[in-house]
Amino acid sequence: MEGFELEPGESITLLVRRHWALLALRLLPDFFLAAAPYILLVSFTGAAPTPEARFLLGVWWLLIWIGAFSHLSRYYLNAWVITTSRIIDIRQPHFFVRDISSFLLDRVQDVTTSVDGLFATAVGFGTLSVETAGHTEKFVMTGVPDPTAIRDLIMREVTALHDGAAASAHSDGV
Amino acid sequence: MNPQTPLHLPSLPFALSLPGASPTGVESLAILLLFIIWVAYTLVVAYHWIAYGGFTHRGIPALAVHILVSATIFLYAVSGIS
Repeated sequence: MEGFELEPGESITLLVRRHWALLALRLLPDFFLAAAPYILLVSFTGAAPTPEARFLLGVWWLLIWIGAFSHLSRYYLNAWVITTSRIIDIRQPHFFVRDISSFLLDRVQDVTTSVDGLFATAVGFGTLSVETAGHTEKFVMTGVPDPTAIRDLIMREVTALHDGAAASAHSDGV
Repeated sequence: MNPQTPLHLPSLPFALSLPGASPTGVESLAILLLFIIWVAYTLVVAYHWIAYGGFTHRGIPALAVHILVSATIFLYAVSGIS
């Protein structure tokens, strides 16, 4: 994943994207838009599409495919990266629009998770909110798979970071 | 009043095309325009996948799928040009 540089001694712990079910939900309208003309054509005429219909269907499907592949690309290019020292938020809302922000794990004060709704519970995705010291704004990851495991991972990394800092301060003091 | 001649529905949309333009010519022009749009789109999406999505891991397979699916659809559409 390009777009950011790791600091010396820093390593990637986890790379998270939205749950695949959310991508499937996004692609579902494309699928129906692609299938509907063919189904209507066959059910009304009861025969294979004529050459003119094949041409129009092909043009329509190509436009639908371009839209669907754009959804797939945006799904892949949006991610959260948890490293040993920070969380990096990579957002790509459109082509040629790319925002990368990060904050240090040692500023994390609280991490909360929420799983809202039957679908989210059944499939296993939710929202993870991270509160940082000195910032009123929350860092929010929506639609991430298994948010509880990610919260535990972040808290482990925060604890390890604090323990490392305390050990370093102790050894400096002695 | 009874109609004098039987009703014949036009074969849309080519019955509405410009006089003098053959349906095959209109279809070929449409395919050409679509191909130009597709090439521009593919260049943009390839740039993003290769620059940000990892060149070898996912970028190349994703672009290969895109080109394969597009080529299949193109062939299907072209098969309709009489």
